[in-house]
Amino acid sequence: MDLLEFQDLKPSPDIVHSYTPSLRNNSTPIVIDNGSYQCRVGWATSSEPLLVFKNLIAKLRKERYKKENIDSSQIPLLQVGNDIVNIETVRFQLKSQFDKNVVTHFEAQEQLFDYTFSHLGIDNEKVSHPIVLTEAFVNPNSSRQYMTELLFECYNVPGISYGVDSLFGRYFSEPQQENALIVSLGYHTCHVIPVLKHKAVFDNVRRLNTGGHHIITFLHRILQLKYPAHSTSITLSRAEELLHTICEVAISYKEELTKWLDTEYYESHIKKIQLPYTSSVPSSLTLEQQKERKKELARRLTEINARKREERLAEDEDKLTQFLHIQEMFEIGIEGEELENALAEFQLRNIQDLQKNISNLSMRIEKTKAKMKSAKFTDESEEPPVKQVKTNKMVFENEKDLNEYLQNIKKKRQDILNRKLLRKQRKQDMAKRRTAAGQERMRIISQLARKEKGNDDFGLRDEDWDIYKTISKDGGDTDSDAENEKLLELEETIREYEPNELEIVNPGETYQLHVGIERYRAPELLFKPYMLGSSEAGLSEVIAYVLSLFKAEEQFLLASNVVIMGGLSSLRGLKERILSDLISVRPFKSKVNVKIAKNPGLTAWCGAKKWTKNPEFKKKMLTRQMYDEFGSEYFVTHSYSNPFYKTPKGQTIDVEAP
Amino acid sequence: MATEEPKVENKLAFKTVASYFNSKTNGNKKKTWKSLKQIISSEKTLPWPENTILYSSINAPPSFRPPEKFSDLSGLPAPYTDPATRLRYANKEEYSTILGLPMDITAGYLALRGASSIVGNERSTNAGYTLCAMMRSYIIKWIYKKLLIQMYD
Repeated sequence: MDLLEFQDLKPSPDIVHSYTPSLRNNSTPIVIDNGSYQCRVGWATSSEPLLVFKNLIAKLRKERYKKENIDSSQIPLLQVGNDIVNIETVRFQLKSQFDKNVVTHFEAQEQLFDYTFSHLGIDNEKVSHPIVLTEAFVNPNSSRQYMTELLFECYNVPGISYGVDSLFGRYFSEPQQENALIVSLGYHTCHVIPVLKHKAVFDNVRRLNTGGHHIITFLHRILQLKYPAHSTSITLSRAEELLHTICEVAISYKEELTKWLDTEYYESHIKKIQLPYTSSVPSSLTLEQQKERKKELARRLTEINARKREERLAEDEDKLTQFLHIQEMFEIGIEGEELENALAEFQLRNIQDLQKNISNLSMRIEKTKAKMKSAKFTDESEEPPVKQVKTNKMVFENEKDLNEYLQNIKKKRQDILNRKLLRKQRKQDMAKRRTAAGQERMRIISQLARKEKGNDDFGLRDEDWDIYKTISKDGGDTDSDAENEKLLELEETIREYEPNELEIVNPGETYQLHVGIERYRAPELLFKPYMLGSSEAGLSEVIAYVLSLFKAEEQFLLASNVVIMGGLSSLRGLKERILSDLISVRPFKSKVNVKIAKNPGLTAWCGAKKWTKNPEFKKKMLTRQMYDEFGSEYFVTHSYSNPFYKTPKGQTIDVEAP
Repeated sequence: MATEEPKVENKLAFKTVASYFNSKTNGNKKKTWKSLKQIISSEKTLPWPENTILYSSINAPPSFRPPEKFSDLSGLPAPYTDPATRLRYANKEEYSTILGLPMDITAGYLALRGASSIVGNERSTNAGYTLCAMMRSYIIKWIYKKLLIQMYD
């Protein structure tokens, strides 16, 4: 089984694209697919989006900004989209304009538009390009109102055309098919949209409030709970990576689970992922080597000491001979200047001083010599005790004895472990209310309390204290230090005889994530939202429900052209699963066809781009003039847009007059 | 990336103001944005004409199939529930793991399944149902208490 590793891909900052004269002068429409996960932006003339970034803003705190005074000017306070280098470091400062799949926070939306338009290179005094913008299915009026207001008032755009991403997607990938059942899998929501005769049947659209985001957070949390020690290194971006690399949709979840019950299947299908780690190097040395090294070090130290001593000895001896020489001079009778000079050379005042010095020196020499001798002696004598420690191993007459001895030790160890477990169990039982042990404890306590107050002699007898033992949550005895020590000792002995028995695992292995059923479990959320506690029906059930709203012949038309699109469509096994679930609800031998739109993530953008080429586009645009005349709520509908319902009068939606 | 820098402080060339929504609010008061939930609920209260399709009206129907029970730890089909932690488990090995789990992990598993409500009922999304269950449990407890007192006396 080969190990997988996280790629941890970092986004590369977007470049500022050039604002060519042809774009500048032709008021080329800007196509924006504003998704709750990613935003895709491009000119109507470009073949694919120029900018693709996550719809996120990281607002860094000021204190942090100050601290990094080194090139702080390069780090903007506000990081948008692909400027966010490492999303995990700013996870708690992240903001999005979206609440589920609807734009609600327009200050953030403004900042993202700033990012968008400036990276398109626009440097005019206004954005003089019509905007094609995708929005959520039946986007609430108030949300669209703010959007219209923002685009007209702040950016002075000449016109806006709103559309629904999945309808644009169908327009791009399935233009000739007049009937389709679109299954659009988004980041926060999934939509099932029936289209008959090129028209979406809005009455029968259903939205599942589960999406990629839920799958990712589920996978993230389940792995964190499985590996609490690595909870910090299991990040949301890594969970997202796992979703795209190893997750699959099971064709039949039940069958998949039964397969995983088999150990062999488990072993061969589990994915092991290596988390980055730093191994501790010194553990590579064996105990013997460590001992050897220590000894070596000690020997070198003593050598250095000995050498120093010898040097000092030589120095002292030298001095002594010189002093003796002076003394000789004095004894011979040389007086006056010569003697004075000789004494001054050694900073001596008089003859008495000299004599004192001589006696001191000779004493020191004597001492050093004695020390050197003793050092040599201890050097040799130190050896035996070390050897004694090593021969601590018991000597056995034969294999059988050894085995018996080992078995005994192992049994003792197991006993201690069992006792510990039992104690833990008991402690837990005591703490809980509904267990027999807990009830017994409560019974005893209440009996004690029931005794009349007048003659309280509790505690006079020794047996009374036993009650404390029985009702204390520890059950009278705790994991004692002595026991722990004993356990360690036993383990040490076992390790000595059978080094393989309690072998410490390779440090890298403790940094591995084993992802088994989770690979199927996380995507299964789409089909079983109740795994997250939601009461909504699963994707297949919603599809069946939507079909049931139609007449039999219409059902047939829809079921024969099911199109999957959206970012999650690339999940392996998804198409097969939906097909098999669909067949199970369709009449026998009826035609069922499921396909995935090509390049499912980009279909909405491409469809919106295609819309700009449509002759209808110019006519169906919301212009500045209309905005001034009908107010911010109004917009022009077309075959790929939401329906327009005027908000009834006497309402409470608060929109300031523009 | 020199062109990016002015965007933090200065207004961009194509904008009329540095920050549109900030410029509209008077004073230092920051505009608060309604959450989607608030938007939907205020939308619902309006007297819309019939056949209007609102955001809230296209919600998926509730599931009509009985939810299967899966082990919280492994995801395997789980026939058992630990009465103490309310965690579901598939076999005895998993049960012994549950016994050793600290509180925060068990709570984490429950929260993930959306079963961490006080009453401990999985179908607690239905508020009326929850209230009923709470009342019922209180009444049962009360009766039980009365009985106990009688027995002791």
